[in-house]
Order: sequence, then structure tokens, then C-alpha cells
Amino acid sequence: MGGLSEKAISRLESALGKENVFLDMSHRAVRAAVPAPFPICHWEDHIPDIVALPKTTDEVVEIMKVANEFKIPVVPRAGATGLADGAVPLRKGILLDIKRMNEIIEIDDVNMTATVQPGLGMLELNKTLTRLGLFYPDDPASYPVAIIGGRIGSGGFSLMGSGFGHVPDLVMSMEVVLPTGKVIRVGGGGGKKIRKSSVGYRLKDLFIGHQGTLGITTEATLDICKKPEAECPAFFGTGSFEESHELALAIEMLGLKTLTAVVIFDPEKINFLRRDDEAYIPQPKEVVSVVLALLYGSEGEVKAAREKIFETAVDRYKAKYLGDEIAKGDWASRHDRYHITYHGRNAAGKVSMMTWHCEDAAIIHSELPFVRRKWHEIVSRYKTQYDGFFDDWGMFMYTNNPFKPWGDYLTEIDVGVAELDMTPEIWKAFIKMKSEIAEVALQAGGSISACHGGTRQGDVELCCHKELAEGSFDLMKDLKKLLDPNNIMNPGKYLLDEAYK
Amino acid sequence: MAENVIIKNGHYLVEDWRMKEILTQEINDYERERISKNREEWLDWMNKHFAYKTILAPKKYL
Amino acid sequence: MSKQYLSKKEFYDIKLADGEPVSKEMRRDCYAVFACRHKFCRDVCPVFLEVRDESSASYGIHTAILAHAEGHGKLSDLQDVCTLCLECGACELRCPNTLYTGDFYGQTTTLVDLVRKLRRDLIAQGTPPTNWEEVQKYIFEDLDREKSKNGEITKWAEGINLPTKSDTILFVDYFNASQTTDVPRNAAKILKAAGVKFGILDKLFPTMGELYESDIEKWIDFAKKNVEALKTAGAKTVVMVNPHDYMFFVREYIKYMELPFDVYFITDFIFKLLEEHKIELKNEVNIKATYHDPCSLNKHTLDWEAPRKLIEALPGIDFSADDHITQWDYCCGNGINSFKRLKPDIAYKIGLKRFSMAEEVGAEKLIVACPHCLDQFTEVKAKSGNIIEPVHILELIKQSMGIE
Repeated sequence: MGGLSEKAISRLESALGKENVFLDMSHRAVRAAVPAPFPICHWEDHIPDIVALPKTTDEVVEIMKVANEFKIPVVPRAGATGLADGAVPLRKGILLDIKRMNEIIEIDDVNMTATVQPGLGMLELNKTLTRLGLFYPDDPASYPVAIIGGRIGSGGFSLMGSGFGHVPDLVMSMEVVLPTGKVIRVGGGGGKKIRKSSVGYRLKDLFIGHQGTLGITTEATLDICKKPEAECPAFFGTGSFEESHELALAIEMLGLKTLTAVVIFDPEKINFLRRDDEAYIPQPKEVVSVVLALLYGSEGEVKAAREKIFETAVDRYKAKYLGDEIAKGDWASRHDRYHITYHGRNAAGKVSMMTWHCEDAAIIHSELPFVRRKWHEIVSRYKTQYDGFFDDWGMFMYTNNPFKPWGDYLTEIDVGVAELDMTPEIWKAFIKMKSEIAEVALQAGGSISACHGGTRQGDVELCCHKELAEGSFDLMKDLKKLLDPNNIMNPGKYLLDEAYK
Repeated sequence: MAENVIIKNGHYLVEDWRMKEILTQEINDYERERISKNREEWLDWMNKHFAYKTILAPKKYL
Repeated sequence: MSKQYLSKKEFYDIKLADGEPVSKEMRRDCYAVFACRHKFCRDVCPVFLEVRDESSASYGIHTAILAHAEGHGKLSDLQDVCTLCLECGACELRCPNTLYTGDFYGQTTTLVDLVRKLRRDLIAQGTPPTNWEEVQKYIFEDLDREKSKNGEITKWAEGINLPTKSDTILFVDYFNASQTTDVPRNAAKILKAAGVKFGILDKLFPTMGELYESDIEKWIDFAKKNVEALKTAGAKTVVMVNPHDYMFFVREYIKYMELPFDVYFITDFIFKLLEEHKIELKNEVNIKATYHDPCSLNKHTLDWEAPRKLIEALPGIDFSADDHITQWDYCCGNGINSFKRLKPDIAYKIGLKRFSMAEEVGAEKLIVACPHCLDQFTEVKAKSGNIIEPVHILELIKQSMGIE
């Protein structure tokens, strides 16, 4: 089995049980890709040698020991819904799938915490919490299927983050198995349920967003809240991106505590959404761009804030309220409809089946127009050159600041990518397009990724050697070597192989 | 709409020529109805999942 | 005309096999699901939620076939993976390709048809799904019933005196006729009490889905004979007591033939009688109960309202049920066709989980509308000692109407 010895396989099987270790091709091939565009033409390069599904911390420790002893790469995989290729194996090895670690260990409705194993999904957790009137407010685009451990490994962004915090704010403490097999706990000082402590280094943050390069979270204590009494998603149409950009700022400046997100849909995004049926409510022609103001809270608070929002958007900025239907149906555009295979088009307007590529830079408010202009120029160029392989699906911009909806935005351009018949040459062109897009984010003084991570081909070189060039990447390499002396954890990611040269 | 579509029984359908090389399925109106009804119910369910109540526009803005 | 849900991909008729190229249509169809990779199919898959294996659900199975198409592995690698499906239909509904644009583009995700095809193709090349021998035994038992002498199949109706020709025919399948006889008996008694003139067939043919996913020609042949028998009996309206068969008639039979009659499920038919005041629910049914949506009704035919309305109309009942969307990821564990015999341990665990959901809403009785759910829950209860009691909806209606 590839580079794996019979002895290593047998050790894994006896630690986890034969039924939880898979060697057959169908189990392995399925775990090669994540939702980011995948080079089908290079599928073989990403198929792991073996798939292991542990249930307990002890079993994870045993996998680490085997991996160190036999020098086998370990690639952790949770929901595999991340868009930074974190769970895509680069050096084959053991695919450590945490989805069987799905126990809810404790719900503490006095101190408002949930302690869970990392293989649990947010929707699954919330189905239980809802029965108690509680909620875990981590809401990525992949919310219905994303898994808590993967959210931690990728340092995820939440659509509700500007009201309730993002993953780094919502995870209070964790048990982590280090690459050597040592088990540690990190959190607010030593407290499992403490949200703010001044004791020691802030080590918890080191184990959030590391893309599986520094260890495996095996238990997490999460900050939960009361399930919101009311939501108000108000959609306003404007005549241009510039008008939306101004309106978004005005809404941010209202200082509303219940304001959970401000989202801008640019004209290209509206055109994309208008390609299809009633899943997105058709709007009059004068609606060119859209601003969404999203409120969550008690009914009284939301109603009071709603007055201010409408007064600002409709009375002062002359935006058009788009109606209750779109407000109620807004999940369609906020979640599952990011990717619709059949929405890709070639130049002639025919359907070209495509996957979804999402660039997700963090950009300050004032630079949004610059970035938008440059990004569309880049995508348009590639779309023309490779007809039917790329398509511009428009841009979203979401407030990015945790607990405070202003300042910087997760700035997303969605690009349709037809992978099925892509040649290695076109794949190379795709990587080049990504690099050009990432470069613009740096020119604007931003960060290449607000929510997915900077580990993808095309991004990673710029992330490590340019964005993190002022000593950060050097320190990352030192830390990696210290914690993972044999480079077993997700080798190749974040160019950390350089630490061992 | 950004593109021309076919409107049938109050629902939107893609123009045939766009799917000419791809369409491999035969479905009828009941099946289409089943899908669109499910979609509406799913979206309602998701709204209720995130908050007990969805508040819409104040009366004067309707 | 009663509702008929047509969804058909002709290229599924092209066989997959080890060492054979995969058709371009199949490759593209699998890519449609692979291209998503958000795997929203997973959060509604009762099997995934139990086994936590990404190889299950729509994404896992479509991707494994695409990998085979691209030269990574062979069809027979799917012998085990193809068993990880209840054919409940939730993932098809939930797939963004169906849910958001299936009606617009006329192209949807059809995992249930694909799994049936996959199992057939694996059997055809001599590498059947793991544990298939258990299913085969069950199929032989059913086929033996077809050969049994006249009268055997209507034994359940003894003493009710039903004609074999009528405008309205109550279609009672082999499973109900031989294993859950109270279900058709109650149905017949309720219809009689409501003054409905109806009959039953004295000769009918197997409908079992296990045969459909192994010997499709034989299954279609039986389907045609059933339709012919109903026509000969004078049926203009056919009332089904097994929701699996209801689903087969309105989703599968119509792929191969025209139905010269309307088809209704029993709860829809009875609810209409209630609305027309032909039925009176007078006796109190003092139980704390919840309702389990059968996959064949909730997910395949969008038929979840009538059972709830009938239960709510029972006087004295303390009723609380999870809504039908929440129940997309529920199943009794039996599955539509072969699952229970392919994966008995997982089937048991899925059933047990459904009991715990019933406990969550404070129920003592779990009302079902499907004989297979009744059978499965009865088994799970016996094995686990769980306090929840499964009961068929027709039993409660009969009690409330005061029928002996």
C-alpha cells in the first residue's frame, strides 16, 4: 500500500479496529479533494495511502506514535468543506478523518458553554442546543455540514461573526494532541471555561488556523448563547456599487449593537444570481447592486434597530427595500447557493458545468473599490482566454471585524471553474490567476485570506514570502520544527517543509 | 433576469439551447413542483433554525 | 389526475463494469455532484450520521464512480460503499443541484436511481454488494409467494367480504398481506365504515424493491401484470396501504408504462373522507404520541400533511412531532429496499436513534404510516427494550371510529 509497511497498517488496525481503517480505493479517492477547485488531472497525487477514523483521544495519540515511528504523513480531515486545501493530502500518508469523534460531552447552561469532540457538526450541535433554547453562533457558508474541528483547524470566519465573534473568539479552550503524541490543554490561562485570562502566552490562538500542521484538536469548549429571539435580514437595492459602498458605511456608523453583518453584493454578483429562477427573487432592472443589513437579538432591540436601518437606507440614501420575500429567502444566497454547478456559462451563454472558487481577502473598507475593479479585470481576462473554463460569478463583501460590524471586510470574488476536462496547462493558468488576485489584496494593504487560510497553490507563496515576510514566517518555521520534529503533520502545507532544509 | 428564460405555470425554466449538450434527464411538472415546494419549506426551516422569529419591514416601507 | 413524479435518466441503462469505460453522460452526471463538494447531502443522510463515513451519501458514491471513471480503482471497489444507502431520498432533495435549480435546469441529483443501478451492475458482473446473499434469500421468499395457490394472498381479508371487481381497488402488497395483516384489515374496515365501495385483487404480483435493484426486467414484468390486473378489475382509483408501493407506482411504474387509473395513499384517501364527514373520529385516544414520517412519503412523494392532520383530529391525543424538514434525516432504519438486510447493525442503530428523538419530544407512542417502519420499530423495541411503543396510524383511526 504505497509507502506504508504491513507493520504500520497492522498497528493502526489494532489501535482503531479493522472496521475503522480503510485501504480500498473508493474510501481513499473520495478523501482527496475539498470544495476548492481540484485538479482532476492530478487526482492520483492527492489520494492518501490509508484512511483512519479514530473515536477517542487515545486513538489519535496512537496514530501519532505510529506516524512518528514510521515517518508517515498525517493529514487531518473534518468536514472537508474548507476552501484552502487544508485537508488535501500533498504527501499521501494517513488520512486522519475525525468525523467519528462526534460526542457532545457537556452542555453547561449556567456558564453557557458546550464541550464537544471535534467531529461534531454545528448544525448537529445546534439541533440539540435548540431544544434548550440555546445556540452556537458559528455560521460559515457551509454551516449545515461544516464540522467544528475543521473550523478550528482553518480559523474560520462566521457570517454572524460581526455580532457573535468568529471561531477564534468562540473556542474557549481545547485539548490538543501534538505531533509527538503529547496531549496538552490550551485556553484562557488554565481555565477550561474562562473567556479572558492574562496568564501565560495566548497559546490557544496558535492551534487555531494552523491547517493541521501543528496537531489535532480532540476536545473543545465552545462559547454558546441564547438562541436569538428575532432576526431581520433587510435587503436594499442601489443603482451602483459605489452607492452600496457608501450606504454600507452609513449603516456601520449607526453604532447598533444588534447589527450582525453588513453585506454588499456587487453588480456582477446580482447578474449571476439573476441567471436562475425564483430561488433568488427577481428584482426590477434599476436594482444594480445590493446591501444587506442583518440584525439579530431580542424582538424589541431588533425592531428598534430596524427603524434606524430603514430610515438610513430608504429615507436618507434613497435605496430600494427589496421586499419581504427576499428577506425570508435570504438563506439561499447566504448559504448553499454559493455553488450551483449548472450556473457556469461560456461566452455563447451555454451552460458549462463548474465548481466554485472563492477568493476571500480581508480588505479595509476604503480599498474595496480598488480591489473590486482589479479583481474583475483579472478574472475577465482569463475568462476570455479560456472560454468555458472560467466564469465571473461576482463579489460579496462581508463585515469581518469580530463583534463590531465596521472597518474591514471579507472580500470575496467567486469564480466558476470547469475542472472536468481541464488540462494541466489550464490548471497552471488557474494558479496564475489566483496569484494575480492575491497580489492585489497585498497591494491594498490587506490579508490574502479572511476565512479559509493561505495554503492553496497560488496563494501560499505570496502568503509566506510576502505577506508574512517580516519575521512571521520565520517564526512559524521555528515553531513547526519545535512541535513537529519529524514533519509528520500535514507536510507541504504553508511551505513549512522549508523549516527542515 | 440577466438572461431570457421560459416562464411556465409561474415558474422559470432555462432556455433549452443553453443545456443542449448537458441535459440528460426527463422530468415532469409534478417533479418540478415537488422541488420548488421543498425549497420554500427548507428556507423557512433555516430561518426558524437561526431565530424564533423573522422580522420584516416596518409598515411604512412596504 | 393523481400526482405522478417523473424523473428519469436513460443513460443509467448503460452498464458499468470493471475494466469498461464510463459513459461521458455518467462521468458528467457524477461530476455535477463532485463539483459541489460542500456535501450538503451528508447532513441529511441517516447512514452518514450514524457511521460518519464520508464515502456514504450522494457525494461519496458519485465521487467514487467519478474516480473509477478517471482510472482510480474499479467498479467492484464499490461493493461495500454501495450498501451505505437507505434510498430514503433525503440527499437528492437537499442537493443544491436539485433544491435550488433542479426545477430550473431540469437536471437533478438522482442518487436513489444511481444506487439501484450500481447494485444491479455489481450483481451483473458477479461482484454483488457485500452481504447480498441475505437479500437474495428474502427475494426468493417473496417470489415463492407469487407461485402460491389462489386465495393465499387475500387471506388477510377473511371475514370482511370484499369483491374483486370495483371502481376503487385497495392494493394490498405481499408484505402487508403476509406480515402486517392488521394494517390492510384496518384499512379495509375503515373504508367500509365510511361507506366506500371498493374491492381487492385476488391475484397480484411482487412489488418488492429488492427485486427492482437486482432483476429489473422481472420487476417491470410484474409491474405490468399488476397494472393489467387492476385494469381488469375495473379500477379507476387505486388506494395503496404500503407507502413503498405508492412510491413505486407514482415514481417508478410511470417510467415504464402509463397508469390508466388514479393512485392515492391511504392516509390522503381517509383524510378526504374525514373532510367530507364520511368518517367520524369520536372515541378519545388518550396517548402521548409523536409521528414518524416514512421516507417514501415525506421525501419521495412530499406527502406529510395528511397523516399529521388525521392524528391531530383524534380526540384526546397529546401529540407533538418534529416537523417534516427536521425529519429529512430520520429513518426507521429499514430503508426503502435492501438496506436492512445489507447492514443490519446500522439499521438497528438508526432505529434506536429515532426512538431517542421520540423520547426528546416526550412521546410514549411512535405513530407510523408504513408497515416496514412498524416492522422495523417492533424489532428494535424487542431488541433494545426501549419504552417507546410503535403503533400504526390506521389502528388509532379504527379505535377512534369505534370499529371492532
